[in-house]
Amino acid sequence: MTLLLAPAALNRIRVQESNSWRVEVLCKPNLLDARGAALRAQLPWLGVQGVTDVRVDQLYRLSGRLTQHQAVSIAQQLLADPITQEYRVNGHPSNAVPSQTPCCRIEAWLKTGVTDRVGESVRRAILDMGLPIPEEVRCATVYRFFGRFVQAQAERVAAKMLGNPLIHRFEISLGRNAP
Amino acid sequence: MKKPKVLILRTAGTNCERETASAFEMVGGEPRLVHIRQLRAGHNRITDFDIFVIPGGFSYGDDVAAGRILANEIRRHLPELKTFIRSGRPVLGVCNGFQALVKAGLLPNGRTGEQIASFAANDSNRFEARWTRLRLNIQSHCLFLKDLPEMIELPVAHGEGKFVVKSPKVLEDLKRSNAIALQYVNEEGNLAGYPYNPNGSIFNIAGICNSEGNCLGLMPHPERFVTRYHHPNWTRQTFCKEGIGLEMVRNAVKHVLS
Amino acid sequence: MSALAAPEAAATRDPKHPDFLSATARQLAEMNRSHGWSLNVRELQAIQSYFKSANREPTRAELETFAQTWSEHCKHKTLTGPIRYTEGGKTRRFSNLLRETIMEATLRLKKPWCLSVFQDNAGIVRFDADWALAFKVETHNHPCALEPYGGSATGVGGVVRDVLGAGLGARPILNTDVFCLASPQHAQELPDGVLHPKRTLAEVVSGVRDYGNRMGIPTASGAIWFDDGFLRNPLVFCGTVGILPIQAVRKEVKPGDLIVAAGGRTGRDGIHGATFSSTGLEPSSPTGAVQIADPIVEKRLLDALLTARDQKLYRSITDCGAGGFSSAIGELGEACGARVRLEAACLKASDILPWEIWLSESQERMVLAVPPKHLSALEKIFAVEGVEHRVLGEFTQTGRLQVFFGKEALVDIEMEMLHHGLPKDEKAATWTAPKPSNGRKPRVADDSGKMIREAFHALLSHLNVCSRAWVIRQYDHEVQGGAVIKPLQGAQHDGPGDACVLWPHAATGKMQSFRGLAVAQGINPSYGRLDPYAMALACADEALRNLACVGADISQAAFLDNFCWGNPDDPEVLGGLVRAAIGCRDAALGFEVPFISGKDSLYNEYGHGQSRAVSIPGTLLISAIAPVTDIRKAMTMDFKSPGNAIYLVGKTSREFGGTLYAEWAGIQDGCPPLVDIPLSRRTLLALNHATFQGLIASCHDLSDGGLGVALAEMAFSGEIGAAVDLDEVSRARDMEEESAILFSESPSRFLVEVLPEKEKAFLRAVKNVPIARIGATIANPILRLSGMSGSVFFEEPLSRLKDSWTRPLAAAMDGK
Repeated sequence: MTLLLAPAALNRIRVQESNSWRVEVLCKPNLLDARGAALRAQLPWLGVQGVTDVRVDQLYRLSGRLTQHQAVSIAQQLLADPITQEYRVNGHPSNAVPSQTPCCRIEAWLKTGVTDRVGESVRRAILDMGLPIPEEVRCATVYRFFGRFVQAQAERVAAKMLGNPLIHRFEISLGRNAP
Repeated sequence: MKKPKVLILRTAGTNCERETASAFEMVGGEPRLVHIRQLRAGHNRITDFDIFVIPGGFSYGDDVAAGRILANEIRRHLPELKTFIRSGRPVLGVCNGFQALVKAGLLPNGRTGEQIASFAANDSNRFEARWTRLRLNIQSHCLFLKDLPEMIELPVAHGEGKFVVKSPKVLEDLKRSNAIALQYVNEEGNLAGYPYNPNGSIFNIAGICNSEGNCLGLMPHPERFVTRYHHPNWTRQTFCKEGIGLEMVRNAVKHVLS
Repeated sequence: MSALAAPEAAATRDPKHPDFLSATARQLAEMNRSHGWSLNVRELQAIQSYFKSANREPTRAELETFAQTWSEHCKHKTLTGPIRYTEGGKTRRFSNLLRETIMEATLRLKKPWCLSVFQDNAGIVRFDADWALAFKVETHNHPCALEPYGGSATGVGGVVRDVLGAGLGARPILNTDVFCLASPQHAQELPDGVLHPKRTLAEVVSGVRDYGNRMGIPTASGAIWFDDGFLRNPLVFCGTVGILPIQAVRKEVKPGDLIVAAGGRTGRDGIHGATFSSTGLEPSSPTGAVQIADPIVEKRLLDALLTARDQKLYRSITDCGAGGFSSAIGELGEACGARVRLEAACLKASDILPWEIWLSESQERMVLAVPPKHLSALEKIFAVEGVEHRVLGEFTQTGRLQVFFGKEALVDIEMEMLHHGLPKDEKAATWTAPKPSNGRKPRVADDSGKMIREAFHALLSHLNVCSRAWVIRQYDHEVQGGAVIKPLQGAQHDGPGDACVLWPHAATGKMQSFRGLAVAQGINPSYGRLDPYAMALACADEALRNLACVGADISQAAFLDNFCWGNPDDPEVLGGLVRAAIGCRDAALGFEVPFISGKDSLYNEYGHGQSRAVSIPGTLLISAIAPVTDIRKAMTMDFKSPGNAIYLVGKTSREFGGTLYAEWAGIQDGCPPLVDIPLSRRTLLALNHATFQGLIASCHDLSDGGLGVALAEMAFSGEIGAAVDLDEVSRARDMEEESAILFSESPSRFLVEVLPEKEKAFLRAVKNVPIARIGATIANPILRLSGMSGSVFFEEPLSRLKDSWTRPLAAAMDGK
């Protein structure tokens, strides 16, 4: 038996994937990001000198049968604050992207199997909005670093400052790959 | 004399309800702790009460953002609160309650239902538990602040208390309409930075009242200063007889009785 | 035993241990290792022979149940087991160390206000005619070493549940936190798998903060001790005080009561937490012990349970701690029996095995014994509060613990065997006293003002003395509106209070009653390094001193003990622990203050089982609680006004072993300060007497850094200067140097500020204790000291002293 999937099966997978929504919630650029500022102040302690700014944002992955309209409602009414934050749902609108490109982006997710408390809270809040309850909601913290940063530093900072490898999984992207 | 009925709203994570009830009891109110599920299920009706309070705490763990989930719940499932406010009866939101009222679009101005202000993490990026000096807006119509001295002290305890507004115009409107009820100040009564302003709020805003004067939201906790023994310096001073927070809730009870 | 029923079908025993009955000692040891049970061979053989006489193989679930129930963490088999203790050529045998020392003292003291001691989830004492206080302090050391945030948060959650499961449930009114850590400025290479102490501190504080603040429990009492001996194994003590109606102190389980599990769901997180915490920490320690805390789930549970308690809807309650359902249900059903249907449990995910459900230590769960007729009323309350719950079975009168998953029998054993079948192993303990002090004078070359100034600033900025505001301000210490004496005191609300005083009116509804309570701690691992016995007395003395300072009634004080030690299989390590336990007994009897509860945490070592294992310094925490008869007479430690007399109560001797000054001056040896208990008790009661009459303006005890530090703290906290003549200090004959008088850490001493018009009455009130008027408060904000020559040798602005004291911890943590 071959393990290769037929094209039809691939399509199927793609359809299922569209049932997963990535909602990114970003602090408006003109506001002080207190968490980011505190993190930046701690970086020299880890031997990282070249970082000029850090922004800390939230990322939610909603898995379940939700339409785009519903996902946007959730982002707008629940996950993002209309005054202090902007949001992107599966990357849109792209004008919510910060004007500057970070040199490094690190997502810290709770590992599979580790209870995502906030995710559970979000699920219940979605149900309370009269929307279909997602099968699962996972939350991550997104760190965007501006300035100079190399891979080894990113890994070190992730493990020493942004989370605990025992329970967190990090996704690190550097340079142009770091939106 | 009939005691004014005070509804103290509870939900998962509310945690200042008992001392809030205590304060109202001391001034002749009849407080009742009511879970939001009991209201939603129709077991209790808001309109049966004279005063409505959302006490402090961490509703739903402050998950997503402080007060956000409760605010959504109020918007969607508690439309009577808006009517209650319009009826002129006293409504008080303390700390998490203030956050929920603002995010539910009921403060500073509940007419449109639009959220025009919000809260961000304290500039210090830390939870701050400390006593603050506050200056009252003597031009405010706020019924809770009636006949209070201009300078008062109350404790704050929050991590997300930095008041922010949608636009500079909103701030101008707030100033013009005397909606800014309380501001963090220093010993001289002037606006000052950290730690006087414990969270970095714009224009040192600590509390907001609607233009009708019956709905007050504030970050500091009046229910934590109801006797002189609550003041951090009561062992040093002899002048203060009872807590200023008690005066605030007494004003609400008096308002109902008058 | 012959009545033991074979679990139904052999095929259902999954996974099976077909070889258990016939296993050799070596095979048993191997099984023990591969399953992570931490039982010894003798214990395994006892289980083996139990199943041999039942003529069947045990199931995995049964073996896991034994491993959990018999773990050090659950059973405290070292402290409650036999010990052969040798000291100075003399040998003494204990058959149960705890019972023959600490508990014996409590029994002998026979305090009528002790309502429940050493039996429930927390010690319970009377508060007033209607209310009782439950107090428990737990450690959560190993989880905090691995994941400090989650570890401390679940630590708080666990001890809150202990109090919620004390009697029929107490409302938590105070959390306490004590941390022992290495310096946050640690600059050397870290051992494998060890987190930097700065990170550990930041995260344990966050964990305590996020759990306590969210649950609405003030964290208003605690301590932090920095010592590099805790680099590999930080200690985190979490305590909770709860208040409950007196009639809710008693609990019982009746056959026929339903077993109701409520709160969080059961998942695979935290399998083997209990056995894990009974062994040492290694770089490869399992991650299964890491759990995520959910304070709001626990808050819902708290709100629901206390409502149900007041409606008398359940008969007994306990928390799911180590060992999960197996321990909770095993304990509740100990006297009768229980039949459990695990398939009813509310699960996080379906990929969990039945035995894992039984053993899982998922957080925020409680188990209740509910009479069937009350179930529907209970369910209504749970529905309003949003608490998930399941009926897991019922209590029986079979004397057996029977657990099923569907038709599959997982466990069928006798309660008697489970709870009393543990074989007792005698452990050896030895104590060798360190060489007596040579009485050498401090190594400081001179007592010039310059040198004293240097010492002053060094001690005030010492991490074990300096301000804890960076931590305290992150805790909501005023929620519930009861903190009438706050942890930070003085003109600018930033001075170091000795203890907090709570006025629990929000919990009792008694706004007219001004009765309150105070809580304080005593801890000093540096003394323990030299002599654990002296440490125990010093800790008891310090905790009581702190209580006396704020005006708590010492004659009604109660103690809690927490022993954190290394590997008790090492006789020297265990010897220190025995000595500390004897110290606790002597302190309890001498002070007439009973211990009401306690907990030990052993195997605090890094590299367990290896030749180079590193143990922590044996550490005893004594927490104390006492009523404050009238909170309106409580006191703070800040000087109140100029022109008042300053009295030093107590006697100053040359006692430098393990002191901060010795550390600074490089004095290596010496005995730690030793408490004269009868004198100390007299002093405490005399001070109480004066306080209750309102004769004292401020009071602060002398602890780390001695007279110098205490004086500076009182002055800068009150923004009132002081002029003191050291020659007036009542002291041992050989003490002629200013440095010795200023920085000796002789115990049982206080600085007291008295208004001139009250001096006479004060002196009458404190008869029969050493006392000296050493100076007066002054309007000028300086500290001015004159010495043996009669002239002023030291003068320093309070602002500079305060600056040294305020900055260090915040600077270390924020880099500012």
